[in-house]
Amino acid sequence: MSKSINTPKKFRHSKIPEFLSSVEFIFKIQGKQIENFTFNVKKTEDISLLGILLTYKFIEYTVNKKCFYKPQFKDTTDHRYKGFLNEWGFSDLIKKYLNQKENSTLKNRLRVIESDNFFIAPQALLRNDSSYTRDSLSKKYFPVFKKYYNNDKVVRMIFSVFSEILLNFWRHATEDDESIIMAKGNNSRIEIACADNGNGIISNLKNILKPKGLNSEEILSEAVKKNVTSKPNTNHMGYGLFMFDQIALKSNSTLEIYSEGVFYQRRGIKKSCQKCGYWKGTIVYLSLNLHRPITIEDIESKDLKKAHLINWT
Amino acid sequence: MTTIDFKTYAPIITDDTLGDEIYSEITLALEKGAVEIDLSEIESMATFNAKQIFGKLYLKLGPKAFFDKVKIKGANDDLKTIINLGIEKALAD
Repeated sequence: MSKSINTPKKFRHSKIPEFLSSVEFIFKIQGKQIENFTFNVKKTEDISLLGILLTYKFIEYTVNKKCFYKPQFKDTTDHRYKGFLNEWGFSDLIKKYLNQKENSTLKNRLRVIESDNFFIAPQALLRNDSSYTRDSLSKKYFPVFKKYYNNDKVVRMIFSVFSEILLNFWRHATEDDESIIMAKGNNSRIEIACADNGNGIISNLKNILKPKGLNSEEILSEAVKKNVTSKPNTNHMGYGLFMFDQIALKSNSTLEIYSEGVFYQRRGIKKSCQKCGYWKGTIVYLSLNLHRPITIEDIESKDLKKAHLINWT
Repeated sequence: MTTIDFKTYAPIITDDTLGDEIYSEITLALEKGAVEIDLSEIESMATFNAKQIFGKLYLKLGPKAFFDKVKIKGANDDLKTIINLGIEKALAD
């Protein structure tokens, strides 16, 4: 087992599968309190949105689950990387976790950065303080998108994605008390990412799809089909991942789902599903092309709006 | 007619606990008569909530009473699609 994790110099999005492979061992060492472990980000000069999120989640998981005893965190000397961690509010959080101090400052630490050309917005999702989360989302977080994007269709696409991601976090990742959803955007594109260490899509769907005898890659491929849900005959409709997949297809965007050793990717018309490093829980990542915004109205038949007699005024 | 303005929940509805609260608020208001649900400030809603609120309400009231007693104001085209999806799934289950 590795005694250190070194994040790559360019921790770009393409390095995520490799990172997952390098950290998958942590899910087998809960409570082991392994000594002399180092998490080294010193050489990293450039980091993607998902890279930051997973760096944070790695540290949060290993601290909460007591994987290591007094682990070392070697921070970068590159001011640009430290700047990101610091500006988003992660730098202090990570240090507090590693010193095993009180970690309830998650909600007070993350902050939105806005400039003329882009914004970066992390938001805590706290299961034990859902009214804070609900309030913070509606009053601070979502107004950023409305203010930044002066296009109703773009805003509705972003909000529809958030609607499904958030609902699914609350309902499926029940083992995870807190997580973070992150967004980073400019005029052309918005990236949205959420990661949890809950039950995972494969675990959730395995029993439902058992009669079909599918392997993990096949299960994840099924998960993005319409009406496929781990909770049939409930209010779950099996629509969220399907909607993301359709938005990615029709808007020439990217959807990535990582869960329990499998990785689904859709880039426009191309899709693939393959094995990757194990991650307990689920990671959902979208990079949306804002030049061709797609919403549910574009996914479903136009007749659906009139399917039932409803008194619209 | 009672108006239930969803603006306190704006801009999105994405919370199952909230969905239960909204459903209860609507059914309570329906005891007094017709209800107008104002969705003008709502940009989107999780499909779960659409089934939880509107699908359940449609099943409870039936199509005629749903049309007569529930008016939905200010829904954008996406919300109309989502609500219809919710009703459709509630009927199918």
